[in-house]
Amino acid sequence: MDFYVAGSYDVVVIGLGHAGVEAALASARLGAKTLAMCIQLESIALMACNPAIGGTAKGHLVREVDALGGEMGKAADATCSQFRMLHTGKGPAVHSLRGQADKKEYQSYMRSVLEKEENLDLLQAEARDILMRDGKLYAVTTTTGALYETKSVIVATGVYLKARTITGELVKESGPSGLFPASHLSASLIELGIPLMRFKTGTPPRLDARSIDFSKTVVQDGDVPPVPFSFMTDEIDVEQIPCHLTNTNERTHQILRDNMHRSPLYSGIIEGTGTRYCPSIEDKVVKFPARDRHPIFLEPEVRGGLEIYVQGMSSSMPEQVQFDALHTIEGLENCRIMRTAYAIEYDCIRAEILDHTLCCKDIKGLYFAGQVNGTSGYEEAAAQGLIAGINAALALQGKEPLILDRADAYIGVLIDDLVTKQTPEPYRMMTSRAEYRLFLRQDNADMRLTRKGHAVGLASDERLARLEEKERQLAIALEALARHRLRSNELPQQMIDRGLNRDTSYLASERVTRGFSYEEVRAVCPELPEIIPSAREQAEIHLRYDGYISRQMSQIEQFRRLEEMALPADFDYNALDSLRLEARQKLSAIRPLSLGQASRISGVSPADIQVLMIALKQRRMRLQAQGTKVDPMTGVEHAE
Amino acid sequence: MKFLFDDTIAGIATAPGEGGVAIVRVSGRDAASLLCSAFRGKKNIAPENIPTRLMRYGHIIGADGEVIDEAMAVLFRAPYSYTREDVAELHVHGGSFCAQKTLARLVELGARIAQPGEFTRRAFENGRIDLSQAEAVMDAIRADGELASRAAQDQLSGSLRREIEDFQSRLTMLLAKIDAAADYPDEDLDEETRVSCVEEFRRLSDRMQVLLRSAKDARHIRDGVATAIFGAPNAGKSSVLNLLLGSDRAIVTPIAGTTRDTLEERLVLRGLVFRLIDTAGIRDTEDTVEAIGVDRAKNTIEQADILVFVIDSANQADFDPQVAASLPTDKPLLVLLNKSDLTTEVSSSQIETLLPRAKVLSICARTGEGGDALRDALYEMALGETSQSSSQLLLGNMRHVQLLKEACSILQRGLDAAMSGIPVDLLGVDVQQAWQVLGQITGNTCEEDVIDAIFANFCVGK
Repeated sequence: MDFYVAGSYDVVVIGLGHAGVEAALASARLGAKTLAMCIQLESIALMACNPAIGGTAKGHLVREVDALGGEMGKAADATCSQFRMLHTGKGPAVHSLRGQADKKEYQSYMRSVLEKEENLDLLQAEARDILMRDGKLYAVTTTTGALYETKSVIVATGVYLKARTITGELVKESGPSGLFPASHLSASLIELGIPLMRFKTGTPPRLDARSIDFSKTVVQDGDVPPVPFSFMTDEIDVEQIPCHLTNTNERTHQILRDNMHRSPLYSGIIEGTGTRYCPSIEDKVVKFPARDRHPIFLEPEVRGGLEIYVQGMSSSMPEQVQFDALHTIEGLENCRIMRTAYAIEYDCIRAEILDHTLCCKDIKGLYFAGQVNGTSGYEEAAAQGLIAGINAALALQGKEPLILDRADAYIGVLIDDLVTKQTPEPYRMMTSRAEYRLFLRQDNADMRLTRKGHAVGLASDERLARLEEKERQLAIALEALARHRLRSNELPQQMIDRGLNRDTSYLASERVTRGFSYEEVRAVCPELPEIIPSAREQAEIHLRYDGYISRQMSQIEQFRRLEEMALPADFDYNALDSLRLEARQKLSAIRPLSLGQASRISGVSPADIQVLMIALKQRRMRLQAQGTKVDPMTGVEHAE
Repeated sequence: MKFLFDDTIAGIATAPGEGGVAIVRVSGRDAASLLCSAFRGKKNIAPENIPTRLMRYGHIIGADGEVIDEAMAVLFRAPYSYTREDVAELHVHGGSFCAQKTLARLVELGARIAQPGEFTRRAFENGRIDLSQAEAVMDAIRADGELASRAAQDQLSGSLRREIEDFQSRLTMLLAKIDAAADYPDEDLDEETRVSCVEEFRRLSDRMQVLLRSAKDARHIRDGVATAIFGAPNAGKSSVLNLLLGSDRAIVTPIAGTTRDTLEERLVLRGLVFRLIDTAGIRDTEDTVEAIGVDRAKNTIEQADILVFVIDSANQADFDPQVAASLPTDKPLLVLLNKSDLTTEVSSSQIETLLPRAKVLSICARTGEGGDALRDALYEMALGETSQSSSQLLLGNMRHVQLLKEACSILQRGLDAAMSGIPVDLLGVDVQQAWQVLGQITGNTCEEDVIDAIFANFCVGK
């Protein structure tokens, strides 16, 4: 096929789902001339599955994307129809924000943000080839014969590569929601030496709201006032609409158990990866056999629409099994399916070929982000898109990359898992994956990340100023709490009821530690300053969980020591016979950056790590003897 | 085959002293060729053709071709050897002479004399054994006394590791529950998870305490039981010591205050080592030298595992109720009523009233009467409860003891937190931390400083 040169760019983004959108915006905002293409411009930022942003562990990702200067949180704040902070009865690490999305509103918001971006061109086209010339990335071509020269490419094709949808017996060459699949790019990737595999995921049926008896369900209203995702949003002025809660029951579970052999994901469960698998309803039935019910949330897809998404019934069971199971549920006895559930099968890459910037280790400038890396979920995709977009732009400017580690952010956990562990099924962010989750809370994402986002040039000055103000108020509050005492004679009855008495003198900070809120204490301790809610929340968490948080911080310190022990890129694992064969193979394939990353590769045992540690020491001594400078802490080598 | 280490080490593997056979061991890349050069069998075999794990008969040959000794030789090819390197063993005649000459010949041929424990260190560094096994080998090398080597053997076989790994796997299961509660917050798993945490924290810390109690016995077994012998001047402490040892180690004179310093002697009773510490008599004294001795005596009593209080039964003034009252109450105490052949002024019922927890024995150190009963009493007191079950796992390494204590206190703190109603997901921090600390015993968490510290113990001066 002949191509004409249609343009020249710094970065070309292929795909404009949740990863592509963040990648395109980040790259353009950091000054790279960016072209973003997708098969159909109507599908920009499409939510092909659940009508929600955030939720358990994912809410953390949204806040982190926002703290770095990404768009997802702002878009959710501008368009969601309901906001709830989940699990407030549990520890602060588990609190997570969830927004009920309006799918159409969200898409049009994102499209207009993209269209307003100066450095960014949008294009409806199907990418055909990624071309290299003289060992360097050179261009992206389209199926219509255009050639765009470029220095970097971000592949964010989601589930579109060679996509096939499966609805019962019906198999179609199709993307999600009947959109066109991308049939050409896979071949080009294979030609570039990118290893591909097939993944499968699915979405539950949608029900007709008129066929649901909502009177048998529990109304779930949003929080008043709604808590925003973005650290830049002060308040949300929106009329919130309710969701509805019902439950599965023993009959539902019996139907699922009777048909368990028909669940394609079931075999994966028996292999057993502990708690770490996607929580479809049949998974829950297997995992929690003693429980006689599981919650089911009925969620509107758009404000005022008829289509209802059945959250909690995510399932890979055949349609008829789902139909029977749904009809056992209270309120859904007569439900009518409006859109049938389907599974989708697609090409994704083996993400261990990527480094922590999401760039291909062997092809400079070629990035991958989102579901094409084997993840699932909008938030996971957005987080990767942001990191790929930032790093593509930074690399072009010759700047240090932005790499987040497992103790920086859920994003760090996500990417480290992707490039280190070979996941056999779509990777979903879960709380348990974050070892340091007590530190990686959604409430302090700005304190963890905004300075990094500002340093690379994405987070605005105003964002940084807001963070500094929050920290300033927090410091003032903590200082005042440690100094002032409650006016005991003014204690209100509800504090007396909670065990205080008017004859004792109480230190303000101790009362907050023991579970009173900052505002309750301030009511009887007027010396405390009035501070913004976000600083209040930090003060309360800081005082209540200080012991645990500081222990977590020392675990993080320990973790970073291994992280900082660099493994040279040219390290010859095959020459180390003391390593077990499997470890040698895995280490050679993944080429970890550090001893820490090596220790997380499945198939590499602690004994292997000890061998590596000793081999590193010997290498260091040998190099030092030859006059090469080696940093004694990290093992980083500087040739003289 | 490539090796982690460049040089080849050699050492005498058998204990010094008389014995039928002495083994000289060689490990490293040149083990096979060294074997060929130092040993001549019936057939001349090239280094690469020596059959592995086959014992061959022949002679150790010196530089000038002279025969040093008649010998058996065997080669273990890597990785199927003690160190995972090529290992050669030369079995020569016992006694140090032949072994020393053989070793000298190997050094002549290019081997380096192994540091203490270096074979074990290589086994560890080459991934053949884990940390606790390596440490056990070191303990075994240091141990004297039969019980000590049994405790070390116990670890070597990995029973300690299995126990710790069981703790770890239970903690992993618990962490999975805590994680599940965090991953599925809608399922309300918190309370059942809290109950599991409380139960498991309690159960594990109990089991750890049992192991820690055995640590005291294990220390006795390895380092010897510190036994303080004290009493009023001239009550016959030194005679008691001599009675136990059967020699005149301590000076026995009738002048009060003869023993001015503490003396230490080792006594082996049924495989258990006692460090018997004879102290100066406890009394107020004007004599400076003796006063220092008296201070030391008090110190010794503080640090001892077992107290032996010697009283002259013919001298009422000897039994000072003040001294009796000042004794530490947490240590086994044996009261010896000495010189029962003379008139009895102090009766055992008198002592039982004042020191109800003490075991009282009447002896005559001068004639040897009561010696067997004394030895039995010491042995029983030293082993306490563990003497009952000789198969019990003994925790003998101080580093392990400290780590286990730490893990135990983390779990106890977690138990308090769990019961006080702290959010369940926070308990994950306790579980992770306890797991990590336990991993430092088995070496399945990899911390450089731990490994460094242990290496420092392996090889002095390297």
